[in-house]
Amino acid sequence: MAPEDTGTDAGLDARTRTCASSPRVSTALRIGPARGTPLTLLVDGEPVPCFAGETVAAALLASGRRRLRRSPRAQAPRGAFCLMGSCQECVIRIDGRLEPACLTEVRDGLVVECRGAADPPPVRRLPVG
Amino acid sequence: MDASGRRDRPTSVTEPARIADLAVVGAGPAGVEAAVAAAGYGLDVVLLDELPSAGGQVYRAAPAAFAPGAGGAEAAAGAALRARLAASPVEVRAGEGVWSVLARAALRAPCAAPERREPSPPPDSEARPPRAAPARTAPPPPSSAAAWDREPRRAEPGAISGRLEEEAGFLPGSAARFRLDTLGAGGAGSVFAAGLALCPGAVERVLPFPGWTLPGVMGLAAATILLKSQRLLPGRRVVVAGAGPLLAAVAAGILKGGGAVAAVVDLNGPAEWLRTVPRLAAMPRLAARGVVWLARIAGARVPILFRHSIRSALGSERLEAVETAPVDRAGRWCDRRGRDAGREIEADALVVGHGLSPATEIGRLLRVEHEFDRDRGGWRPVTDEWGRTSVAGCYAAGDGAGVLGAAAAALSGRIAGVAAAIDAGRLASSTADAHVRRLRRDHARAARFGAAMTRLTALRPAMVEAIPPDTIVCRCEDVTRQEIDAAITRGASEINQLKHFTRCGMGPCQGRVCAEAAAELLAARIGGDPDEGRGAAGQWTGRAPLRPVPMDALAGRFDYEDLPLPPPAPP
Amino acid sequence: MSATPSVASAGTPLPASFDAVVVGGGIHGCAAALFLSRANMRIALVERGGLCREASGTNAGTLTMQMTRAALIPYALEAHRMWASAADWLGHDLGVTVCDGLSLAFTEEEAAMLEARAARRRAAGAPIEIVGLAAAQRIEPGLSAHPILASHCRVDGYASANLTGLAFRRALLEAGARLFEHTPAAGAEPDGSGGYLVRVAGGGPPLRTRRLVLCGGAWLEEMAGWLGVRLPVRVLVNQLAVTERLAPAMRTVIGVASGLLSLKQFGNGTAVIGGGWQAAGDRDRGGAALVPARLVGNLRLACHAIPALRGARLVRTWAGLEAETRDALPAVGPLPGHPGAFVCGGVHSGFTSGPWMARLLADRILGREPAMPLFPPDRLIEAPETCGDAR
Repeated sequence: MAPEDTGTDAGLDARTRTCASSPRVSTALRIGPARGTPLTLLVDGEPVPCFAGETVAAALLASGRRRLRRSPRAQAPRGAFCLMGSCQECVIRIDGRLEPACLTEVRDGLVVECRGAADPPPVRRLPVG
Repeated sequence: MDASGRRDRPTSVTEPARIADLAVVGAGPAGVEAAVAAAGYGLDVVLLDELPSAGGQVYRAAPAAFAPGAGGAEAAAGAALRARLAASPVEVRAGEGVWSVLARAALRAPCAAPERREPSPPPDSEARPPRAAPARTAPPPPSSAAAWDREPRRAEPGAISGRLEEEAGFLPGSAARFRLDTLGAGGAGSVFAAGLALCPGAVERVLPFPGWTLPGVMGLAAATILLKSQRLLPGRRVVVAGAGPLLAAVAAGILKGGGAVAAVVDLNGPAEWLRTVPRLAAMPRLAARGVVWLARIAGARVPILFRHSIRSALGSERLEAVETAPVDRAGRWCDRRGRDAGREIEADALVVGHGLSPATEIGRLLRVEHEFDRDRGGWRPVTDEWGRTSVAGCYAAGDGAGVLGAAAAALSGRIAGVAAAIDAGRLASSTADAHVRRLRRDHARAARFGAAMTRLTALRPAMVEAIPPDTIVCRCEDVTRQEIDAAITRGASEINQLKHFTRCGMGPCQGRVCAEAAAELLAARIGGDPDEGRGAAGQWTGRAPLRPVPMDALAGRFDYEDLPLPPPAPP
Repeated sequence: MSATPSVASAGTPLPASFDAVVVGGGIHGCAAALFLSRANMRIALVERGGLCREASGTNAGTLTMQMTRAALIPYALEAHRMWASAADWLGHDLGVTVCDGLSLAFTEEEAAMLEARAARRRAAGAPIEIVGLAAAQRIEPGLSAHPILASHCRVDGYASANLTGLAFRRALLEAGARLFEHTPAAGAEPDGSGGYLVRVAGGGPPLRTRRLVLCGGAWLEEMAGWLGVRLPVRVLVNQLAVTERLAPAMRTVIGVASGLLSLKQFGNGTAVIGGGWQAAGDRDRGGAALVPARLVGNLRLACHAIPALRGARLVRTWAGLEAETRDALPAVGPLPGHPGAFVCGGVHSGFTSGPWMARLLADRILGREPAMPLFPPDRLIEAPETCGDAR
């Protein structure tokens, strides 16, 4: 995926990019080593290393993924905003369900889908006879 | 929340309920203290919070899975709070979000409704001054229709209160006044309680500016959660902006964590900060913590832009830079016409907050009486000195009852806990004053400090006035300022009507993020005193669910034959 | 204040007398006031809140034949045409979508009810056909496999109820009606010379008018009481729920044989779930609270019909008041014994049929022969001596 499509930091920071795509975990944003056991999320099909105890929102942020979805009308990029379950900006599909990423703890192998530009697409209707 | 757990244990809200003397919503300092105090007088208390552990946002714990890290003063205070809670008989339901609160009284036959604040008429409407009369007409005279109402022909009308109460799970003769419905990792549940203490804390207010929806722009309170709980920097090069003590706390936290602060952009100037100094003496330890933060910021040579605000956040798919410009005391751009006074700062994160507003969702749902108090963060429930609201058995404490900070919140929570004990008959009101005399004195001192901090962040109407026309105000529904202005021109004169006209506030955040800006835009057009304008603009009507809830979790698994279908509609 | 007053500027002096004062700014009152204004009558519309903020703005927006009482089908068909062409006669967008509608039966008992009800409505003119599950799933690919029978109606659809107030407000101002919003009417009485005086709360001179049109919806009983008329109106407190936007899950309006479900997904992706499940509330408090078990029951019924809804999140619930007369048929016509006074309300599925009912009444007031018979309220009126205080 091209950086401009994913809204990630990948194009801006080589260190994150290297780390995110290698087994070695990026520590660019993480403060200190006192974290949980290493785990892996599957984000839009890509493995993303993270640590037990982190929220999905934090893990995505640490991996350089800032854009989580697009807004419904303007299709503008959106990312985590309030991080306390209030604003709903980080609601993405986690294990098949729409959940606020900021309130959901990571689990090993958790499947995360950031909502794309066309989700939900405009509702189509049959012509009326 | 444990999604797989939820799936494995299909649930429904009809599962067995818990009956308690007092339900406390929100396990921040106010909620924990209210719960522990009430339990200390023998009340059976259930404490609920959607977060996995108590402490609220202010004392948010690092995840249990994290190895213990070096904690500061706040971490210690949070740990102490959790320890006191653990040592108490309070039943803690952490990780259980309350999605519905139902007052038994609402199921009963008509009672006098509190007077509604009357919105101002739109400019082309011909409402006739003076309009001192109540907004609602007098209740209809007794008529035969009332009796007819008791003989349902189809789906039972709401007036049949006894049956409704039973159907809602309120047992005849039980003292329960409230029903709370929850959803957590373990599924759905219900709590019935005679008393209800609302300690929901605050919502961060971020006033809209161009680009504030870009990924990489976050709340100031959001940054504290990242730093304290997740031990994560919000970005590698962060602009910290807005107002109030969180600015210094977050900037210092980022520096301590090894991050870079590109600038601190403070709405206030040294003069406003100096004015708080006499109040700082009330809480010397908190003031000292501020000094440490400032020293760290100064030591890192972070530029501090006093009396500056964010003109725009720049970037296409994510934040790349922040444009700042000077403002006056009222938050007005100093150079209102040109944009040349602005300064562009490269950054990958902007954390910005313009203060806190009480979280009033549950109070609004219960139709608790509220008042607008700009210096306490906005709309707050009206309470007596014990924290009793206008709804019998319902108490409010902490920032959710008016933003005064964590220290005052803890004390107001304790007082509300004592009040619940008095009202439950566990403590004679004649002796109660002795129990709270010291609490009241301490609360007054903490409140002086908290009020000074909240005043630094009071919403400045000029900042709302400065929102450009094409800037999004309602993030959920992408409603711009000019769409809101157009709706007001077309006659929206009250905030719920504005919602109808524009969908502003109709999205998944349920109006939490846009309420302040939308109401302020409306108030400005109503004219006159801004606070009176806010009063007339009103609040969103409270609606369940309190947070969006998965239909799957609510519907659960069921057999069609077991659905309690009401009688069919007429043919 | 930067707002620009609209055409009917508040600064224009009030006429000494109106041709008609309409009390109640719901869909009936707004539409009646609009048609009368456009016939060059001097009209005042008095509403205690904003226009269409009660039942007319908080209903599910369904424009269906399958939940309309059989006796009202001819009216609802005309009203449906009006809704579908609202952009032409109203001039403002109401988000009207015309689409297919399905009413479902999940059990044999319901299938029998479905067939009987469909037959009655078909006899009244609604183009309803009974179809099997496979055919129903072709019409609605989002349908579950649970229904055993369905009735299909091509004349169905929905509007965005929340936009009705905005649309009517603009049209009324353009038509020259005088709007008194946030102005509760305190009473009305004969003015001694064949007209009426409408008193409004807050003092000020009463509005003088030749005709009085009472469109109070759930509050109609109280308004009729101003003139000493007992017109009992019962209040239904209908619960509604709406989801967050979700990917297309359905494209029809879905109901069930018993009428206890109304379900559709709007173009923006949100799905509105209703069906007349009762919440707590009354005239004084409006929709005061939802009963959780009933909400869950309603949601279950919706998910039983359209399984994809399980993947949505519920964002908001509310309840609105619906007026119902003793025989559940409308009160539309002159108020007996009170020349120049009219009522318009108590219309079951009043959102669907409202504009047509108001047009018929406006025609009657304007001295034209209404295209369909009115529903004179005489049959509903109780003699004052027989009712007393039944409590």
